[in-house]
Amino acid sequence: MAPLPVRVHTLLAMPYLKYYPKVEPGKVNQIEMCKIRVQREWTLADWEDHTPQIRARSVVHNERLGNDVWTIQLSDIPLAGKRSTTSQAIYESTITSGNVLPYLTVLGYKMETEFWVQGHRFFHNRIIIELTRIFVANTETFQREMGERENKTPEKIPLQLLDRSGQFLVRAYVNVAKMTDVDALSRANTELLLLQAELAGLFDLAMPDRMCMDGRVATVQEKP
Amino acid sequence: MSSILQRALGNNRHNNSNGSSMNNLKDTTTLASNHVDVALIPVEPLESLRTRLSQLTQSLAKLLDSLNSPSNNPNPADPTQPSRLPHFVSLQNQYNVINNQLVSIVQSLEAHQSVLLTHDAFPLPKFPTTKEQNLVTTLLRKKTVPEVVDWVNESMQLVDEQIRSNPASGNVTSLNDKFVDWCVQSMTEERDNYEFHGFQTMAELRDINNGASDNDVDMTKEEDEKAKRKEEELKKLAMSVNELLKFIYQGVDPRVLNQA
Repeated sequence: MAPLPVRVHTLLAMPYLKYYPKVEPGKVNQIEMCKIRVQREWTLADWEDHTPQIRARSVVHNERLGNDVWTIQLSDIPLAGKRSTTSQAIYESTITSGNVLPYLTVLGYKMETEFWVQGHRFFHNRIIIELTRIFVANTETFQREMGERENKTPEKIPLQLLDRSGQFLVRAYVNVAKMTDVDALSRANTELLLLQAELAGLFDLAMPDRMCMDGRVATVQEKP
Repeated sequence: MSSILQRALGNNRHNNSNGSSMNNLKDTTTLASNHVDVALIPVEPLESLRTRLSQLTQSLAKLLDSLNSPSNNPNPADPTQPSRLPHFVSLQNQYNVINNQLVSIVQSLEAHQSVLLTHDAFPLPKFPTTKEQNLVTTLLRKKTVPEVVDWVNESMQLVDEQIRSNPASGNVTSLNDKFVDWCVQSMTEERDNYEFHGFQTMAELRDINNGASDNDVDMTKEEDEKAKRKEEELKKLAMSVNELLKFIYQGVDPRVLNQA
């Protein structure tokens, strides 16, 4: 299959109010709050690439973008234990009608971060390999422009690379429909390990820290 | 290339004559280049499939035989009478055997999935193998066709005779050799134009070469240091995978953390 471009516009939303369950000895608390990731594929009309100056439409200044087809995504902390690959439960639902921004508010969430992912997606059997870079709003340039434009907001805001060294993030993963499908999981595991061996020397694929892929709120608030 | 195809076809002919549908699976070969690397042929998966498939055809043929057997006919005098089924115990046994063989084929297919998916089988499934058997054998022939051998011998003789009758015409062959040399040389040149090695572009390679030939050593040194400094700066800026993932999943901006 031919490689496809990756163009993902992501909003990361967190709850307005954090819920602090009363800690009682002998009682295991199962209530957890998750950050919500809302994603859509940005179109070329939303993007303006005059490298090094890249601009994109942001939901902050274009609320109509919320009417697009967005996918809501929750991710659990990756499974614990001694593993050769990372497995993570991800819950997804696509919203096809209505504006996603008020919807988030009704859910009790507020937007925290907005970022754009650009890159390429390759397919190897069932494995998806992504080479991506993350763009975030360039607030300095934006504020300077606002001053020049007498506070009239531009249609597209200036972006900058999150990682200014320009390196790409390489991710190889397999989507499994059900977390309980042990056969599919182990098959995906072997396929990924094979790929790791195949790409050794070209890309040294390694497992990331489990804590860094945790999409829950509780662990975030513990961190300074 | 033709040699592998010939080999695979040879196997077919030796091992079964009625399994034309299976040829397609067995004739899997690698089409790498004119020069055949025998080590690239996935012999092991093909062989394991071949034995299993030939077992299956044998059992199927046996089942068909027992169904068509004249001993099942209640009225041997009238062959148009529908024949009776064999005893159910024997049917069930054969069914079990075939079932097991199918399972084993599926397992073998699954185990060698990646190899089989990335290789082409000749002749292709659509090719009418039985109808065009002569054509297939001709196409997959390893040896030269007798006609061609005759042609080659004829022209060799012709050249020999010419040289013998007129020694001066030996120049023709040397001219020919020159032409062959030129062909080979231009072919390798053309190939080099389209074969790429390493991770640098032509412009970068040119820069490197220029840098090396530059007499002004101080300049290159300075440039080197500049490049090194730039690289180090970029390295300092580079974020780890974990930092990037933390941003994606938790929105924790590594730039803010680094400042603090």
